[in-house]
Amino acid sequence: MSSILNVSMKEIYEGIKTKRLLIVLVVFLMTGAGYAYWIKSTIMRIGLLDTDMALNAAQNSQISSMMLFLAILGAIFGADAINREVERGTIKVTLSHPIYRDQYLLGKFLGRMAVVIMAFLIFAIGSIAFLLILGVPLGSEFVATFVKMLPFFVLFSLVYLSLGFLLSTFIKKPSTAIIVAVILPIFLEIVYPSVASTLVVLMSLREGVAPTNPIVLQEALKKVYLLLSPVPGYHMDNILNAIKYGVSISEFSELLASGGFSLTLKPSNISYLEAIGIAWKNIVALVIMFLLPFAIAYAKFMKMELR
Amino acid sequence: MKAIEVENLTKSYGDFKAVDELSFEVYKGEIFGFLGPNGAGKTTTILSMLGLVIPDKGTVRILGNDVFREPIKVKERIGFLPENATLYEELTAWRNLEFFANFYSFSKQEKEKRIEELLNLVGLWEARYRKVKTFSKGMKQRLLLAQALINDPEVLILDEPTSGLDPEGAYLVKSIVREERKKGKTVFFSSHILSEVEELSDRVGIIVKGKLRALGTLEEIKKEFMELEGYEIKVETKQALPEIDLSGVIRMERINENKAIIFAKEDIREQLSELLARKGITIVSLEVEEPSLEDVFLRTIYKR
Repeated sequence: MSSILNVSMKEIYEGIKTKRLLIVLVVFLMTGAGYAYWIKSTIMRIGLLDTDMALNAAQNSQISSMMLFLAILGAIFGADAINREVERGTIKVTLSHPIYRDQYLLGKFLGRMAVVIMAFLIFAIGSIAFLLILGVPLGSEFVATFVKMLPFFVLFSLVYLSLGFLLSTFIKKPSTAIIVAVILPIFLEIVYPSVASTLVVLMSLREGVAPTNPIVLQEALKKVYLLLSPVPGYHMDNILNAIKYGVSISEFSELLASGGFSLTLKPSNISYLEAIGIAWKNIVALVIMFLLPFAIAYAKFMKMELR
Repeated sequence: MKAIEVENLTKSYGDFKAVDELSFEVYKGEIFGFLGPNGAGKTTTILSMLGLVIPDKGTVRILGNDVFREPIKVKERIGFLPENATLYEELTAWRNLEFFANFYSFSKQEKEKRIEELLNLVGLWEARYRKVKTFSKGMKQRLLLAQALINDPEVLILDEPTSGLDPEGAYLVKSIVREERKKGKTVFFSSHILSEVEELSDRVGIIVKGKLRALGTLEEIKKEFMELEGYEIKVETKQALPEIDLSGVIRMERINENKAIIFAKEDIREQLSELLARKGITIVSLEVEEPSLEDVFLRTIYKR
């Protein structure tokens, strides 16, 4: 058995045996169930006026919740990958056997990635099941979007997993790293985008221009998108827009500016490859966001003193 | 033939020099005791020998291979038991050993046979399917020793191997170390337990503040110590013992009329017996009081 595979298998075995995975899954599945109920009641309310819009909103919300789950799970699973082994001394034992440090790191990363993906699939299937049980008509279009988004969900999980690995090489105490790993996705995916959008609106108002003006709104959106560019979820939203509606971010902002906040996009029938062509910059951004923290963690780990 | 060669090894943590120009050799088939007080640099030396700590300067060669240039070649032939470590707590004893065995080119049967042998050797066969987190400290230490032996290593490096073990566990570790030597293996072990080092080692190195202060067999070290610190010669005579006036005598401490301890710069037993014979005094006993390893160790730490 190759050393990388050996470490990966051990990580998978340990990962699925730990209480952490169970706790995270239970918490998120419960949240998923509550969320499904909320979506159902929303559809009941809005659906009477516009069923398509209600379903669209339900699907987007569902994908957003999956993204948050993935982000937290990825970051948590990466955050104690190295520091816990250093703390317990197991790293000294393992690295005294014939394995290079980079093989060890890669093995750990792949193993934890497998656990995160497994957990995500359980959560995703569970969440969809809750919606179906409650009678929310998801339709084949939702399933198709979900399947098309799967590779990007994996890429998105890699971004947060590698951020977690970065934390685990820089923060000595695993418990501290895990706390940071929970806060980081919430900040990046929820707090920061809200603050950034609010700030841009406030700045527009300060300049005495109402953001309802299409030109002003488009300018404001550009500023918001610029501020959101370091956020992985922003790029995921853009990829989702490309896959679902066939629009790029600039087209989307134009439409939003002209249609205002009541804009409802219709699902498009463009091919998967065309959608990837539209969102390639966002895909590249996610790849960089995945590779950069991992490269820093790798460089740090290769020089790390394992006392 | 040399099993371990350490040359000018130096490692600092900030301003603190943990290991300072350390050089020594360990020969094939011997048990080498690496002795030093806490914080002397024993663990840093060992971790540098394994490439787990990157030294500022110096080279380490194990079985002829450079540890930093050919780490895999080295690791394939050594076994290591670290201090204050544990194994994977969520895995069973069997799975832990299987994980480490997978780094070597064992066939499935060979692997299972080796794991079974080792679990029996360290007395954990009955606990093989128990998770390590349910083990006592002694059981964990024995399992750590088993993982160090998984590849039947030619060189065994043990960092404080009996730390935290009960007398039975410590006896087991010591007997395994002796067995390994009998098989022609080299054992390098660090300890601050003097009796253990005295009991097991063929040669000893004493490290203090990152520097090697003594190196050799116990006899060589004691002799060197006596040459530096002086000899203690116990003498007992039938008749009253006269004042001894010989060159090299530093002082004489009388115990009673017939007994005394003579402190001398060198071994003056020959001259002393000649002198007493000339004076017609019969010697009952005349012996050099050998310093214990504890004496050597404590004086090495505090005086030199």
